[in-house]
Amino acid sequence: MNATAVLTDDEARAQFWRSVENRAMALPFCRGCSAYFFFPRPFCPACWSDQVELRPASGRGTVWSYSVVRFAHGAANPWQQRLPYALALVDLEEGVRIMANVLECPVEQVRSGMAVQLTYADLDGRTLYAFKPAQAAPASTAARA
Amino acid sequence: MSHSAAIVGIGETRVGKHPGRGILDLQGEAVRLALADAKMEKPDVHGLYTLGSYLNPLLMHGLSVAEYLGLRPRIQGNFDVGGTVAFMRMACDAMAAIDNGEIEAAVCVYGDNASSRRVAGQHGFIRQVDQGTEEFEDPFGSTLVASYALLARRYLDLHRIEAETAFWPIALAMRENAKLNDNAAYRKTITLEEYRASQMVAEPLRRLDCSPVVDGAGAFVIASKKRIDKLGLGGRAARLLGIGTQATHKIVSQTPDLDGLGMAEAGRRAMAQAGVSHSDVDLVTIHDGFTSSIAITLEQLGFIKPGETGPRAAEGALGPKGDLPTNTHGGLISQGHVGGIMHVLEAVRQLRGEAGARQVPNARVAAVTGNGNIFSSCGMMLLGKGL
Repeated sequence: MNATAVLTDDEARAQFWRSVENRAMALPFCRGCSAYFFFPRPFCPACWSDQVELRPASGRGTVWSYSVVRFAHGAANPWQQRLPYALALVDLEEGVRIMANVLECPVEQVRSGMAVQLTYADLDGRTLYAFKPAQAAPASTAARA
Repeated sequence: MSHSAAIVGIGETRVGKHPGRGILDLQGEAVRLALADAKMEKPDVHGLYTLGSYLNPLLMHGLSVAEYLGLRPRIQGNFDVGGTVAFMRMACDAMAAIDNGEIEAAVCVYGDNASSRRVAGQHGFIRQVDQGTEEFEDPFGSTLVASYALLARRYLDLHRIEAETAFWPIALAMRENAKLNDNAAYRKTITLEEYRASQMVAEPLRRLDCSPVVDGAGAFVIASKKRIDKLGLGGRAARLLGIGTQATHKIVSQTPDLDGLGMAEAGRRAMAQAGVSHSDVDLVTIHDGFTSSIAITLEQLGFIKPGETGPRAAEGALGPKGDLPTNTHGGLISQGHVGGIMHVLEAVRQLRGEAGARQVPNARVAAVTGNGNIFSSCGMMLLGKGL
């Protein structure tokens, strides 16, 4: 992340990554347009309001698209040791889309439209967000009202 | 649209491997060839528009090229706008400067030695630092091909088809077109068996779906009508009929859906400005980093119905004598990735009637289209025969 710092360092991103480090991802929300946005900035990219804050993510999402990566370059590239791996664009319930890996799932079973839930992984010296197949909801044993 | 200027010269180096030749050397050769084709000389270069190497991006590359060639242009600049879109904006800027009397002629050039300079074990076009992907994409193992693969997968999902139906015929069509181009680097026949056996890079894109890096350079000259008439080159000129460009995002995780990409809007604007309809367009060039790029572009532009590019390609539609001649020079995929500069040159060559065995019959209107980064910056430039 050092290389990016010169161009993109800001407190909004720092706060976001701290929430990820704490395994409690919070998403940027704009009070001006009452909507979430991604990636974090000190202002809303839609309406440019600076009334923005982070709100805890529900963790629920759906895969919008994915790719199983089967070839990667670079002996120094840690991802070459992890082939094949699933890369996905996930639409979160909050209405934003983020890129992450789909874990805890054979790569052959990753599908567009699959329901996923947020998880975390320690990778290359840091905590990152990831997704895993959503657990099926347990059968309800509550009595009907 | 003012027709006070037009493209009047084209030049290209051999495309392939040029070990020991630097970027300035290759770009310099293309500039000299294009100027000769335009019957012009060094002092005529009042404007110099460049796009530097994708492998080794350079600051103020325009100045480097000018200095290397012993030029002192009034206007120079490096236009890092996006694949092939860069050349459209160069052309526009040059024409505007000619229109307002600032210059009378300009050269636009791109070239790279991404093949010979490639570091072993590294992708030909490495992702540069500060390309935007470092924070929210690279940590997850994203790559250039994987980024395009995400859009390719979306395309297959939307149209409920398989890669073999959608993309293989496009790979074959580009190879067949390249066979007719002496200056294409990949001209050997490919079979479905070879496609199936081709290394899967990032599903659904295989190696044969990806454009290969090569060494090579190309350039074109734009001159004022006054200059063109004086040289008697009006018949060999290509005039600008219309242009439209549109940016929507940078990194793929910020992409709109396929129908929200800038391509459709850019095409609409260009065609409206030119007053042309789809049936008026005789050939199309497409910045085909990947086979999927051709399908997405042709369909978003409305040339082919959604999901049908593969099947139409299988019928021969994309060949020079087909219904929709596309990348008659073989495209990035089969000529090799020369940044899309050849896509402009091929359009001009076709309009001149000088494409030989791959000539599109009676070519009068050409649509040059582009997409930069991951369909982040899109554009269409319509060129017409003659000035």
